[in-house]
Amino acid sequence: MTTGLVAPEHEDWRHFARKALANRSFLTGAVITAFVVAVALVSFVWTPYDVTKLVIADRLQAPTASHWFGTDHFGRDILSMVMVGSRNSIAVALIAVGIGMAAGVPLGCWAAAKRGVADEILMRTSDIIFAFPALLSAVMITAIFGPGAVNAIIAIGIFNIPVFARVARGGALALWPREFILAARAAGKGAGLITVQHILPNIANLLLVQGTIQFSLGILAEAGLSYVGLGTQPPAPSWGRMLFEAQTMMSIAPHMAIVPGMAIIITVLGLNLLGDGLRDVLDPKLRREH
Amino acid sequence: MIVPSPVLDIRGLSVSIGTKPILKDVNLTIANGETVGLVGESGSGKSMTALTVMRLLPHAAGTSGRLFFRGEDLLGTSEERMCQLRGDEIGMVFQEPMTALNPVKMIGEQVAEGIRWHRGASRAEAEDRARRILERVGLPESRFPLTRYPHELSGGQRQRVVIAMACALDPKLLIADEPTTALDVVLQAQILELLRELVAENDMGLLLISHDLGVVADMADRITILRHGEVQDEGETTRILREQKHPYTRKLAEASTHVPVWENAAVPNDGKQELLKLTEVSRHFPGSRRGLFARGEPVRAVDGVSFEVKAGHSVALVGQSGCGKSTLARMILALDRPTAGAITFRGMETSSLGEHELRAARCEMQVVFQDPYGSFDPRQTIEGSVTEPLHLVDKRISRRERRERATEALVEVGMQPADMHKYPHEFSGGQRQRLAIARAIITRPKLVVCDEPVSALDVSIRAQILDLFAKLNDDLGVAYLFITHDLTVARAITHDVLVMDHGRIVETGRTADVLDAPKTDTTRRLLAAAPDLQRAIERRSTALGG
Repeated sequence: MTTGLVAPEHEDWRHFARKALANRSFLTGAVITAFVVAVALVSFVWTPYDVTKLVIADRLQAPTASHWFGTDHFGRDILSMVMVGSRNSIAVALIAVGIGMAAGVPLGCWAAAKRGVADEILMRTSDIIFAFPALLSAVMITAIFGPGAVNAIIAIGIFNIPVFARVARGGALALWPREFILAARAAGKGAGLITVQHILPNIANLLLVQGTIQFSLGILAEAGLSYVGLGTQPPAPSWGRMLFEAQTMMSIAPHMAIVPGMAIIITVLGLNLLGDGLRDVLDPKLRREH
Repeated sequence: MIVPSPVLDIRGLSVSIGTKPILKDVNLTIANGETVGLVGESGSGKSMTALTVMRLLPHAAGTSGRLFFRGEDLLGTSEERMCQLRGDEIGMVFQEPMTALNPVKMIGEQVAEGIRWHRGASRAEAEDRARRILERVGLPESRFPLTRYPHELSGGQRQRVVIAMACALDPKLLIADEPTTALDVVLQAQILELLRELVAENDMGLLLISHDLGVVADMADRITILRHGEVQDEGETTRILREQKHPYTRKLAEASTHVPVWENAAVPNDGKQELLKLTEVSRHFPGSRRGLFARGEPVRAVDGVSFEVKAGHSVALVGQSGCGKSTLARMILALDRPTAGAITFRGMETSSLGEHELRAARCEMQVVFQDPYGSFDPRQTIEGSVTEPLHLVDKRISRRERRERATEALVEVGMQPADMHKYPHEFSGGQRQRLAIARAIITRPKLVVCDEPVSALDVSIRAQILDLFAKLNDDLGVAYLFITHDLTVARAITHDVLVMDHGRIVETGRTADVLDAPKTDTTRRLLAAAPDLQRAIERRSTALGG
């Protein structure tokens, strides 16, 4: 631990746990997210069927006892595909948010602490990035560097950087003139230390909420890129690809679109609930009120 | 004399939120042209009374009793009717002129808005009326066009706009909730004078809410004193304040004129070593842009200030808001650098040192801010905040020693060691100010700069905090620089005083000498404007006699 920060007491963790369990949206969100992550993990070791095995005889089956979510036009088991697809979708979104946060938050905090020319350059640059529709630019990047999951991650990640930089900068700017920051400066702390000890904990809730929003947008973006054939490449399934393939079968096998669509909706919902709940649970003002 | 049907007649009003009682059986009447002072400390239910009259209470609130406005029972009336009354027949002035105005709307628009809404007047008519009322409150169009935005006005001018909005339609009742608490004494006196004139002109009733008996003593015909939602004492102002029959009234009166027991008060130990020295210190801010390359004249926030503070001395820096006090304080604390001049602290010229060399100086000087709510990181425990300045101590401090130092500091300011595990929001304003003082003394500094340390506190809490400052000066020999516009604070707790005006020091000397025999107009103006309970009572008595 750095100087000045005192590690939370055990007591605090108990408070945290109790508050977290009492928060309905946190609990619901956590259960849904845990379920999705668990399914993704399970798919590494076991799926009901092999997702690359084509059984043309069983194609376009509606949900049955042997194929819970039915089969697609190649006779692949949709449940297995959704399970494997969750890996791609979650990995892409998670890493993209990670890239955005890791680069954006320090940049935003730095701009807020420095102000002046550095701030102007950074913010105008992010304006330029914002000026391009994100999905269009992602299409452009993947078109140049070739389609694939890795390039999709990078493309989505780059567009997350200015989002987090802006949120971090805005939050930090509002905090800098506050008296407790002045007090910390009077205690001889430099901009870096103040940012780590005072600014970040106070903007964490903003970043967290933005993080869950960007995560769900990331899943949608991956689905979008895969849908136009620039994301995950066949035969690897992803939710977006499954939707794309379902498009032509909509009238004869609607379950092909409904299942991956529901998977996206449930995951995004779970993440949003989790983010909302976390924000409340982490707020010390709400933590001790009875 | 007495008008038979009062403007406002509150009978047996009780308000509760959930199971928590907020007001208990409150009775209060206001006649036409009468000013009634509602006095109490924070949490006593003053503002809740005002909100009840406006029917702006939170939804969860339950009310009982009767509340008559010109014979009409407001508790039973519809929301539509209340919308007609609010801003038309009942006006309200809030405490914080910064937040009571919409920052993106021009002042003329904001005043005219209510007129158009209530009277269905055309834009031109409404603007005409807005122009007249703004002129009446002292903002003539020649100098303050209707197209000004709130941020272009000072705090006092903004409060005038708020009053103009409240009085634009000649209300029968004006509710002013701490209308001058956010202003300095000179502006306070001006705003109170304006309210007094408006009451006389329009024959309206004024409910003046304040925590300061001194303010109310000068203004109100009758006073109601509230505590924990219950009326403690009530009656004609002169009688209430002269007799002080009720123990709580007495306690409030004593607290507002409190002078702490202070051993070092008389003996400022002259000849002690020099602690802080300012030589011709100036701070200019670049003027606002006039064009692409042209800038206006620089603003001279601090202009050639020289003075010194000796070890163990307590010095007051007084002046109106905007005179440069806070800019000066920031330079002394090395949070800002002077444009010219030198600041020397314990032989180190802090104004030219780098952040690393400043550490030794910072360790010896600390700060207490005005706002006990803003000066703590809401996400950090008290232990983390209070021990923050230990960062300056060069040697490594173990977690255990850190905790011991925090315990010691908390005990010194009268708090419990167990408080260190709590978060700032769990404490009241007075407690937080104690914690801020604990943070300031944890490194055993030689100088503590206090920027309006008690002006946000209730009178009884203020008295306790002043006692604490006196005790710490006695025990630790710490020197103070008190930045304040409150002369009672200066008188109570300082040896010397510096009077500042427009960035310059205009008068210096022993506090008692300067305040008893002021030599400059600035000091005289401050003294004349300062609310003084004793003086107000005497003035009232002579007025009655004559």
